[in-house]
Amino acid sequence: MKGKFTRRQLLRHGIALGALTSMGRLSLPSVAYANSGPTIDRNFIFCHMAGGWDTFLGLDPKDPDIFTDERKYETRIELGFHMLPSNRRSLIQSNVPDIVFGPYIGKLKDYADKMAIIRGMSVDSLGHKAGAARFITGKPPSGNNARGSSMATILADRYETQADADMHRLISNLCIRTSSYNTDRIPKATGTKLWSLDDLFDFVEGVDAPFDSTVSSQIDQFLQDNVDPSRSEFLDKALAFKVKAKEMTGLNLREKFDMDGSTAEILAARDAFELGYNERNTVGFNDPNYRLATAARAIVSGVSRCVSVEVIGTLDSHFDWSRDQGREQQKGFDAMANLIAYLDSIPHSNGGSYLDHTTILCFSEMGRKPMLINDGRNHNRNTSCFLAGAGIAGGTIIGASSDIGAGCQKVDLTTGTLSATGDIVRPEHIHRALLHGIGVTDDVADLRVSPLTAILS
Amino acid sequence: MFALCMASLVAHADDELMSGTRYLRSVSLDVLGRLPTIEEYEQIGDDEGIPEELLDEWLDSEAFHQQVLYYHNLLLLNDLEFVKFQNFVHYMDTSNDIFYIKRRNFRKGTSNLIHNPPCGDFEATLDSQGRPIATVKPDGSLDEGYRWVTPYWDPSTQVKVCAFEAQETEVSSSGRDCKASEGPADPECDCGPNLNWCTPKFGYGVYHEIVNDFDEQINQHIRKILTEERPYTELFTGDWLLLNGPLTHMYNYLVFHPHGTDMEHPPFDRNLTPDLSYQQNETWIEIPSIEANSGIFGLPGFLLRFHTDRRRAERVLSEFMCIELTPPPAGLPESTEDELFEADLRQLNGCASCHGLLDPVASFWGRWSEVGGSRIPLAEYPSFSDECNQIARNGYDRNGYAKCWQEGYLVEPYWGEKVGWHKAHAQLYDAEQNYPIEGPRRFFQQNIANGKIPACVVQKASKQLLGRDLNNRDTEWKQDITRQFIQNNYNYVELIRSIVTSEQYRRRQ
Amino acid sequence: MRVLLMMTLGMIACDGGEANLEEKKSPTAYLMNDPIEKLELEDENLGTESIVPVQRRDRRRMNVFQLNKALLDLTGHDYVQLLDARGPLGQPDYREITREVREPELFFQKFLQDAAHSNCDFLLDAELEATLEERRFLKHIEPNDTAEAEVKENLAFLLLRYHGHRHENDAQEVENWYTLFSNIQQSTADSQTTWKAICVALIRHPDFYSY
Repeated sequence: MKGKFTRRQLLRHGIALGALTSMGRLSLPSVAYANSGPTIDRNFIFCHMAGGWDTFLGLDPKDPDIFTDERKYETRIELGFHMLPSNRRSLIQSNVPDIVFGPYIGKLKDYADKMAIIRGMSVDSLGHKAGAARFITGKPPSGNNARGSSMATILADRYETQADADMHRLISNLCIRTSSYNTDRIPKATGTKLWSLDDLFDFVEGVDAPFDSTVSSQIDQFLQDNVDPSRSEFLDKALAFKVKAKEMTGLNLREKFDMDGSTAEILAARDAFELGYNERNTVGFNDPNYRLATAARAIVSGVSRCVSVEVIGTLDSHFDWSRDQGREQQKGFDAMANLIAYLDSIPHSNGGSYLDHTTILCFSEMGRKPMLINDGRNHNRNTSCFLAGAGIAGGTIIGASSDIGAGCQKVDLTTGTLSATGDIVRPEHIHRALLHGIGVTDDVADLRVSPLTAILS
Repeated sequence: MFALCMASLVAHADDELMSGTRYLRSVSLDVLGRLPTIEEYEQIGDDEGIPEELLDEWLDSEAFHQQVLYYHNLLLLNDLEFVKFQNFVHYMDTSNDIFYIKRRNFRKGTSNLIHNPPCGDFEATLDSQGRPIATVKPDGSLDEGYRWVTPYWDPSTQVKVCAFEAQETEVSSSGRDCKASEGPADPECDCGPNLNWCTPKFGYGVYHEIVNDFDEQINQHIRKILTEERPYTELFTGDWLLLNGPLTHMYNYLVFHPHGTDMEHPPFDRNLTPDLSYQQNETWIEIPSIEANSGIFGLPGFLLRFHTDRRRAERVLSEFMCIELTPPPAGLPESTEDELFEADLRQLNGCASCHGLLDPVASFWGRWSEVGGSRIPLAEYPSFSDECNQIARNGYDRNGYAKCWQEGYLVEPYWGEKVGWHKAHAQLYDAEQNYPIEGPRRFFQQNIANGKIPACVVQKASKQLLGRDLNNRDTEWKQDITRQFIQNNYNYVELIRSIVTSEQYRRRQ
Repeated sequence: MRVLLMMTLGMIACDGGEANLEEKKSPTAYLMNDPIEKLELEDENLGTESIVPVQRRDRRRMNVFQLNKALLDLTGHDYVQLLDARGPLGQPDYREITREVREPELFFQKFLQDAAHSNCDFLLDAELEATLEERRFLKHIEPNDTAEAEVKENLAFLLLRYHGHRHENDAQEVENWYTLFSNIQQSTADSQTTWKAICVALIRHPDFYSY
């Protein structure tokens, strides 16, 4: 009979709850995984092409000679190529023999040898917010609300909590017009959000003191002499960070980012990203190239470890698909190609180029339905994404969407080939692999899946 | 571990009492969010406490109320952003200063075009029945011109509205409800008198004002508890709620057949809706809530911030019962083949440690829509549907299947014997079947009566004010404060007073 | 070790053989079936849950709103960049950042320094135009006066206003600040600049921004 608990039972339940509570307060990730730090020094750029992309036009094309309009009710795939301009109705051969792309892949076709493309994966959602939350955190959202911290935050946390100061960065986690979550990681791993380049300058530049450096030094010395850091951890930290803040504002970091500057590095970046002079106040951050140029500069200048950026935000083609979707995708893909090329052109102090030390993940929060509704496509949980750069097996295709309805298909996570006993790839498999790739093999992010090691070189 | 504990118990110089002025400064920052004035400093000696009159004044001030609201924002995270509380087709757009609803296909006429705005900049002509007379443009699309309308959101002005939208039909001659999602497809339908059932633009203006008012509704509830010295427990079990003009307008006109966020069945009896206009945004009227609502926990500001029932439960458990749910440190064990298809997480090894508590508590919100703020009526949606059960067992019936799924009934084959059950009830044991029907009130009442919630309220408030977790040396103090809080009929102001005048608080750097 | 002990406690409780299987599955079942019993306030377990071993109390800094208000009250200048940058300054937005952080970290120090420079510059320039009653900073001294007694009196006032420390004019703490004043005055030969520097030092001192 289900009667009431005895007092003894209530107390035991109370003890159990108390135990759970205590473990919560001990901050589980740092306690359980204190020794699971990265063994490889790597940077990350998370590129979000927002709105939900039509993968037929880019990463996951279908042969228009097979998937014809006449067969659309049989295949449940309607490419709609006849609605596109006549010079956009063919697939594009990449620089890897077995890899073809859709007609709007743009310059990215020349970088397939550096890319691992994942097809037929799922975000398990039809909503922008939920899909984005899933991709950014690797966790099923709570309704439309993200759960847990962003992968960028977790990666930043892993590096910033290492004793080796060389692993630390000034702005470890930078976010350019995109979301970032921190629910359980150190504050320094919180994403620093930029809406414009001026926001970044506010962070890295200081307001001039109303007196000269001699007086500044006198103040610093006074605070040093009159505040005893041994009295408390807070004071110790406060004085240490005070010194660091002063150092940061003295570094003249603006010149590393100011796209209107005249240093050789900035001129090379402007050239690589096809930016004109004085675009900061005109096109500025509305241009995907400008955003990615800032992201790239943050990495190569050593300021940031992880950069998340919304490359483009105009892919939600419920209407005017034929006019807008491909054009906007290609803007994003061209900018991504510029990013890859730029990073590949900058030598890294540890050998190779910055591309050899930076992993790029490019995704959209969902795909679009395989059947058209007039001149539009609705949302679809099936999507594709690609990775490039450090630790990534270039020239690789993981999985495939099905030939009926372009659905998700199960994949062997270690080989990337279709397998009836495998898993449907989801963002968390990719995130787990990113951690795996830097030597973090414990499930520090509580993703509860195996890594998609097929993408790793 | 013993050594660690002993090291922590060694007295530290920073555990001395603060000086009078530093103490005053700390209390002022915590209670008012500002520094003391020089005049206030002059009222306190070096070793004295804060004069009672001064503290009374502080605890009765708007600045203190703001601090309490700030603190509760940290608990409730009541700051909504993306809420589609209205059907998308009832959002208006503007172009050339003319309001219209986009993409009403009947305007295409013989063309395939709809213009923005779809009507020309000329005053409409009406027929004998008051309907606009549309002309046919050269491209075959229709154009009816505009009419001047006084919008509900600004009665001091008039705006141009395309004449089809400016109609005031409630139900069209073909029987379509113009407020509902089917409305805009019918040329006779419109935005109603004063554009009542349309929103000027998605993401702007009225939309933002109403979404902000969801947050403010909770703030006002807390404010009322403070200013009227109501028991703090009314945050959890209050049988009332507050409505202002915009929220009243929303419930009256904007929540029928929504797109994405179900708000149709409010947490109060519609017959008791106050008579407020949209402009009365600072007038908050108290009305009784339905039994299934409990304090603020059936209000949109809470439900739309925490979209799923489990998330709602988890927030209540962590912030108001001090129960944190965390996975086992060793991770979850591998699932067996059978477990992969077991939907009841309480049966799963590893999951049960959290879901054993979480799922039953979540079920108290089972009849509040997820990603929504609507109460799912029992009469219309019983816990078990014979019809949906049959649909699920008889094979694929596309329309019936979709209808049942949308209404929340389990129909997919993998649910097995649970098909036909409403999802709010499907996973519950017999003794729990009335949890979704009753709502969380009794859960809160029980945990107030047994002291769990009061103790956690004290603990959280203490932590916020002391700036640290409570420790072994605080046990007796915490018990005393909790007893006082309960004996003072859960007076929150007195609780804060107890904490900031305690030695625990003053024993800081 | 601590984790292991807590886990053991949890396992002991969860493995309690006395509760039957159904009760274990539904720990809240008893809540709805039983009448609500009023708590006995003398219960020795009241409020004993969630107690951890002793942690030493440490300071914490002002949150962004407190800091902004304090600077506005003290200097009359609203440094809006503080509120604009509140994410990395530990202020939750309740959507993406859900915890309040009160650590004196890098960006906090940087923005504090910026705010001090900006606000003190504004404040002392305004003091030149203000009457004694209107002044916020130079309450016990004229702007161009550098006499020791008056400087110390004003410093004692500032230490109370900014840090909440009450000192006599001849206290050691006041003497320390007077030394700073004198040294800076020697460098600048300009009392207004010197007072700006004192203002910056007061704000950048942990006794201002923490409590």
